[in-house]
Amino acid sequence: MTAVIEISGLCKTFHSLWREEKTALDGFDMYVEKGQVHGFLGPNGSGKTTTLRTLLGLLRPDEGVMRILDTPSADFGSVAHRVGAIVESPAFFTPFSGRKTLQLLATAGGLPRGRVDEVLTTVGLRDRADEPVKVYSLGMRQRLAVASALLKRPELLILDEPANGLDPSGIHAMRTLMSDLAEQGVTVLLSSHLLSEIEQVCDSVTIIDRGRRVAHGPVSVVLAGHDTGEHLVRVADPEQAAQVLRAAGATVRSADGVLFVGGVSGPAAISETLGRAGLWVTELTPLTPDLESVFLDLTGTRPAADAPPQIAVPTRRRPPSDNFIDLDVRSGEQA
Amino acid sequence: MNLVRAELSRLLSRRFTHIMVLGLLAVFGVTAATTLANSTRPDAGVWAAAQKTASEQRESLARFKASCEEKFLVDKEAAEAAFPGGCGAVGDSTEIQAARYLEDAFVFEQEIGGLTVFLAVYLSFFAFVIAASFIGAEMSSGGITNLLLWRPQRSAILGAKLTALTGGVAVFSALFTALYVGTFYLIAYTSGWTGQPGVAFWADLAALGGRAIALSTAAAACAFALATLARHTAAALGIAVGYFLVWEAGARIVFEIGGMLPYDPYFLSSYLSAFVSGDLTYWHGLDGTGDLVITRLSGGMVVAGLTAVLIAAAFANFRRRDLT
Repeated sequence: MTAVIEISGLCKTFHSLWREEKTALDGFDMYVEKGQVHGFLGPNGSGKTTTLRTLLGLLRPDEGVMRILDTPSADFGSVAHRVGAIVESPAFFTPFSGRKTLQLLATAGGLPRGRVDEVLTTVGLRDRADEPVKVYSLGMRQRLAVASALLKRPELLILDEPANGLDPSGIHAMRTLMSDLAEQGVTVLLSSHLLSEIEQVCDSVTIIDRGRRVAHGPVSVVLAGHDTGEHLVRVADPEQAAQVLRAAGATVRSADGVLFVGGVSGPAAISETLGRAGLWVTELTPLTPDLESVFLDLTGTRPAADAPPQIAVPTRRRPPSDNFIDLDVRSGEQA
Repeated sequence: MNLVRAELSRLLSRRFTHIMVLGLLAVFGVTAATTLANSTRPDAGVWAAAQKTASEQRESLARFKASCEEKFLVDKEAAEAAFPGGCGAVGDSTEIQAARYLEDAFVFEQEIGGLTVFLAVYLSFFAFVIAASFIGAEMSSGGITNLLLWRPQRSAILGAKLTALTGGVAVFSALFTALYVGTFYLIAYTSGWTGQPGVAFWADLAALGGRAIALSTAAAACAFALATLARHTAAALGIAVGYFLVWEAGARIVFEIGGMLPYDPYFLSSYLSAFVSGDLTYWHGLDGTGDLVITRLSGGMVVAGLTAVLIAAAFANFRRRDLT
């Protein structure tokens, strides 16, 4: 597969005379293949937006190699007409209407005006296009931002939190749009906190934490890499059931009268073992991980019962570490 | 060109621009209304009184000159000490016109010069504030990022904004100056006295108007550069206010108390004044070295140089800056 985005060893530290320096990116790598919808996940302050801004030439990297559409990022200007992007919530000039906002961009980019109507229809703003942006809701402004990114008929679409402020209908429309664009061969890099959306729409993901990649690869493989093979079991006598299962070689932990059983070949082995002991299963469910649980485990942001998780403080660069989980199963990536 | 058109459209659509223009029109309206209210068309009686006063002034001047020349004949050294400029320094009696003594009449020929200097000051003030807000809002809100995602050419983007701003300010200033001068001419024509302006007068007035337009355009460019460097409208305004409070007012007092004279060359306002109003004599040569003067040319060069340095710094900084 052809790489559309290749990032290797990207480092970025913000220096300030008044504050301690902050390392936003600490040797970050990313690889996005052509035609993919690629999810980009990370907790707040993990370096997602810094990565996108650096890729798009808004920030100067300290170290690292970046290529976008097979062009060094230093020459981003030569491929900018093939890239549509929104980074964070774009600031529009609010006295202008949505249509005029796009027309000015189309004029600046030398695009035909008819394209403006097309994208307004695509994002569902056609009937509100002549109202000033200042009366738009957050969701409508987000739609306008996506429209501005689509205006160029991009080969690569980079969207930073496009679902911010969207209602369920808007989120559904956005998901459909992503799928349609992917079918048309457009590569989409999608940064989002809506993990269920990412799981539904993305072919592959990269997870970033404190400026480093902690997981990447196809969604199914990332999830499989976190499948512990555990099953949730409910029985009338959980204590006795736990003893029986442990005696059969399974690992068992219990919580609130429910057993979590691992180390068995499958659900049939559990029901057979308990049945032979005269214990009848009332519920037996394989625990398959979802993206949210993988994300929370990898980034250490799973809420504890007694203390809400705090956003990590990026400070100085950390020494190289090998304790991240590499789920790299893609093909064709350069070492 | 498309970018410049887009930026001009944005500048003209900004509510802040509208408010500032309304403020400018309000200042103009108050000035014009006050002038109109205090001016009446001179009748024969007023003219006669003015002729009489002018005649008395001419006679007084003639007596003074005669007395002066007599003292030079008696004791030349003492006379030179008493009249360092000679007997002709007080003026020529033929320049004393009756129009100067018209009571309650706005005389265009005499007063439009001062009014145009006032215009230069407040055009520059409004241009500075509009320009700082125009680019400062873009810098602080991240609006400029949108455009850079479309055209990742920082110098071109900043250049388009500067071109739209300075072009807009220059054209507006030119039109407003014409309206301003025309309005006062009309007031004088209907409720005062226009004088007898000749070609030389109109040429001087056109040059003064041109310098007012140039100063307002330079003020806009400097504000643009300061707001770009400081990334906020308020920062640019703060730098300007801080400069005038701390240096122009505070340091001037310190120089005065410390007896460090002459201090005028250390203040930007001296050069601005020289550029607009003409050569500024800031020190009379009591020790025989002659007058010290900031010329109009040197004033203009300081204005142009300061603008060029700030703009160059803004572009150099913006080309390399992280846009967060």
